[in-house]
Amino acid sequence: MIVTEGLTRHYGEIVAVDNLTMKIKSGEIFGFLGPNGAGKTTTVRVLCCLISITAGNAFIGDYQVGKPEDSLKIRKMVGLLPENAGLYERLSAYRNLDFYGKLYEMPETRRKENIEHFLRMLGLWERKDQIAGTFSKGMKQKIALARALIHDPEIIFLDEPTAGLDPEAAQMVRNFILELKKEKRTIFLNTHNLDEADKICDRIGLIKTKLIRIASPEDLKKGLWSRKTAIQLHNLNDTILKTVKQLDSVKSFQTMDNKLILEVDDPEKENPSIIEAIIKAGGKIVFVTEVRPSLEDVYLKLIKEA
Amino acid sequence: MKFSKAWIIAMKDFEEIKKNKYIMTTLILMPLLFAIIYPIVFIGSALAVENTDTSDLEAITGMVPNAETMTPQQILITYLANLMLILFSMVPGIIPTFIASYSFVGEKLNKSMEPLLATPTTDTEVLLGKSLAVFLPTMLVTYMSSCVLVVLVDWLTFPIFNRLFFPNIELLIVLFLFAPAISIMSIELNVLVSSKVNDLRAAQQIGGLVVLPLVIILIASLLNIFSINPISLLLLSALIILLDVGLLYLSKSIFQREEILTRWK
Repeated sequence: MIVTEGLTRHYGEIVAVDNLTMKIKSGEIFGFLGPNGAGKTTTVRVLCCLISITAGNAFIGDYQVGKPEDSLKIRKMVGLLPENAGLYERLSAYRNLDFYGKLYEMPETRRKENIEHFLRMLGLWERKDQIAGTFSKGMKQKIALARALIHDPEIIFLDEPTAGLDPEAAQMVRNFILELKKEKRTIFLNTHNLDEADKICDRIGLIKTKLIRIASPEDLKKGLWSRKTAIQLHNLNDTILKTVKQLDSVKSFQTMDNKLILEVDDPEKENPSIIEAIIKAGGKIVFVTEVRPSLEDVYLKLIKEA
Repeated sequence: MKFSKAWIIAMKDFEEIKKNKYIMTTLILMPLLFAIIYPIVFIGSALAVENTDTSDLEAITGMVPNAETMTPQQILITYLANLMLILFSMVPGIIPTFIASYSFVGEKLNKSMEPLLATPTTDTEVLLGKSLAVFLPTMLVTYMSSCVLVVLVDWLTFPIFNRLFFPNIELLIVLFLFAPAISIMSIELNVLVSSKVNDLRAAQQIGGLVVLPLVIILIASLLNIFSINPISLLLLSALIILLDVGLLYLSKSIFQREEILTRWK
């Protein structure tokens, strides 16, 4: 659905995006993660045909980004929620959406249906005639989200959709994005919020001018750390430590008070015999858990290395 | 280029203008004041001078067409009425600076330009739509206030001329050629200014420089260097239209997605 091949964008001497190659499948929620100035917004602007490509190629569906005759077609099939809601503050929520519906040349009936559909979904139908300038930041963001969807785009670019929102509003926006996934829309999500990316994205691309890695959140975590098991004991002593040391399945281990943290290749297969050995050595086990690295750990490690 | 899309943008801007009390007050009061104050000051002062001798008006007689057939007071009134027309042309010059500053700089400050540019519209459609939203109300208030001006001047001068002074050919050239050309120049200048400033007041102040050519014409007329007559007004209008074409080319090159999102301050 979205393909980039060596996509590069310079601002004068500054390289904003360097040699970006990736493929995003139809119906996927793709999270684009990176620090400030990493090139996320630039990538979105390029893919929405708002700014030009310095080198490389990009395709949205069957259309080529940067080809003058394809630009309008691409803009028609994508919806963009920029970093700032950018509503017309003197116009009502309804009129803001109606204006955009007209620019997308939607027939009046469909325009009205879609405005009502999205405003109801976002819980703003009752306030449709209220002036946008009087809305809270969260409400403005919801209207801006409805604006990006008003023409039923196949692909939606969301640039920091939950930035600055209170937890409740952010949760609502996240749920809304998941609803959109059910409608088989392709979503390109720029975000700083790692928890958000972890929860809702099918795949994640890490960028710092260059693309660092691209994988599912789970694969990103697994690929960087071997799996670890934490065993909380009642009585960690030398006999137990000696037993653990002798086990071939344990690649390494560390201790923390009465807790043993073991690095094991295949926990599902190896953990039962390890636990049995510890019990035989006189260990009293309180509980056993898997130690999972967070996406934040992965992010910080990869960005630091880049 | 689809005119319908430009019109949608223009209609949206009209709606915003209508809801802006500051712009609406300026749109109503300023032209009205110009239309009332100028005739009272200019024509009123000419009416107050009853015993004028032709020799007193030697300096301006040559500036008034058909002066030999007029009384000294009629010469004076005609001369001052022509000056007044140039001053009145400031209305279509100044009004766009108020509207355009909101339409262009305001949209930039409000960060509403990016979602607009992400729609399937061309740069020309957006520029035309926003320009129409400035041009049409400007010309509407110019014509409405000119009606007040015409009625007032005719009411004041009828006893002197025993006929209606306005409309005359000078007024028609000013209203239908000179004023639209000045208005377009002001709009194009404001597009250029919008790319450089991030402040509404600054945009209005810089945009207000559009009245400078009118002030120069006025001074030249007062110094008897420039005579206001149909031919000179036609030539002047042609010159401003030429300037408009140049400015349109410049503003089109500046009003592009890439420029707006990456280079506009």
